[in-house]
Amino acid sequence: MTFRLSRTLGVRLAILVALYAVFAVLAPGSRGAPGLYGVLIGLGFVGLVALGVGLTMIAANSTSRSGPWWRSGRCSGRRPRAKGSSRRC
Amino acid sequence: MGGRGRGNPIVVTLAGGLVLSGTAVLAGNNSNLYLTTDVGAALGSARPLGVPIQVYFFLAFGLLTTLVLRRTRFGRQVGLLGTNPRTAAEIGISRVRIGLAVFVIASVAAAFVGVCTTAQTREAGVVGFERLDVDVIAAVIVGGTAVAGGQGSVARSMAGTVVIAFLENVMIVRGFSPGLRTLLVGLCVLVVVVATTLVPRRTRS
Repeated sequence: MTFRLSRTLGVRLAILVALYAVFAVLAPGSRGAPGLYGVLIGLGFVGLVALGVGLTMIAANSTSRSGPWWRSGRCSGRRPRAKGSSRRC
Repeated sequence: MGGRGRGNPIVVTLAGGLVLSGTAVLAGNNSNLYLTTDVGAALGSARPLGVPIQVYFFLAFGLLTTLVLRRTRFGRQVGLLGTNPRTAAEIGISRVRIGLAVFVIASVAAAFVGVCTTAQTREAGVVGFERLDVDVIAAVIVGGTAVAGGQGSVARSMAGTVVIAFLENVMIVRGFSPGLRTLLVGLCVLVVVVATTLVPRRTRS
């Protein structure tokens, strides 16, 4: 599996580095191993839930106009009705 | 389930969380449960190589999710459903089935966090997770996952989580009030959204 650093991911990492630099100057206690350990404690809990919520958002498309969720499968698209047919799909 | 249709997953998550927590408060009479045994204590307090065990769970879950999304049929169906739901419907992908699956995965992750928190604090209660939903949504948005859904990646969500966790930790160390912390997290989300949406558009134009 190849990993390529995308531009959007690079922007996030740049913001993270900038945040670290700013707080390292403003709050010396956040530098080094003790500060990193504090980040790791909060990281696990927030991260696990964030990955789950992120997964639901990747799979969702709330701007879709393909109909409500209960019309799933082949019939959920807006396919043209056949001439003379009373069936929806 | 509304998240699989036209409902926003964030709204569905928030509403579902409120319903479930309200039900738990009513059912449990707003009382906490206390653990009297040490079973599962390692889930909350173990530090392999000096790193909290929850970080290993986070990395393992991120790696597993990435592999599933990139290498499996289910992962491709999830991606297609988000980017092009009409095509997904045309080729017979069930939105209900995939939607149920991703919400179940998210729920299992959230439940596991609850188990780890219980193992860490030795008590289980409904209250105490008020900040978690704010931080999670901020992490996902900072990570660049589209609020309307359909765009995003696991790696970006992980990067967003690191940003929010770092910000929260620094603010707690500095003794910021909860209100100020919420304000600064909101500002961070705004800065990232502006930096990642307006700036590239301006560059393209």
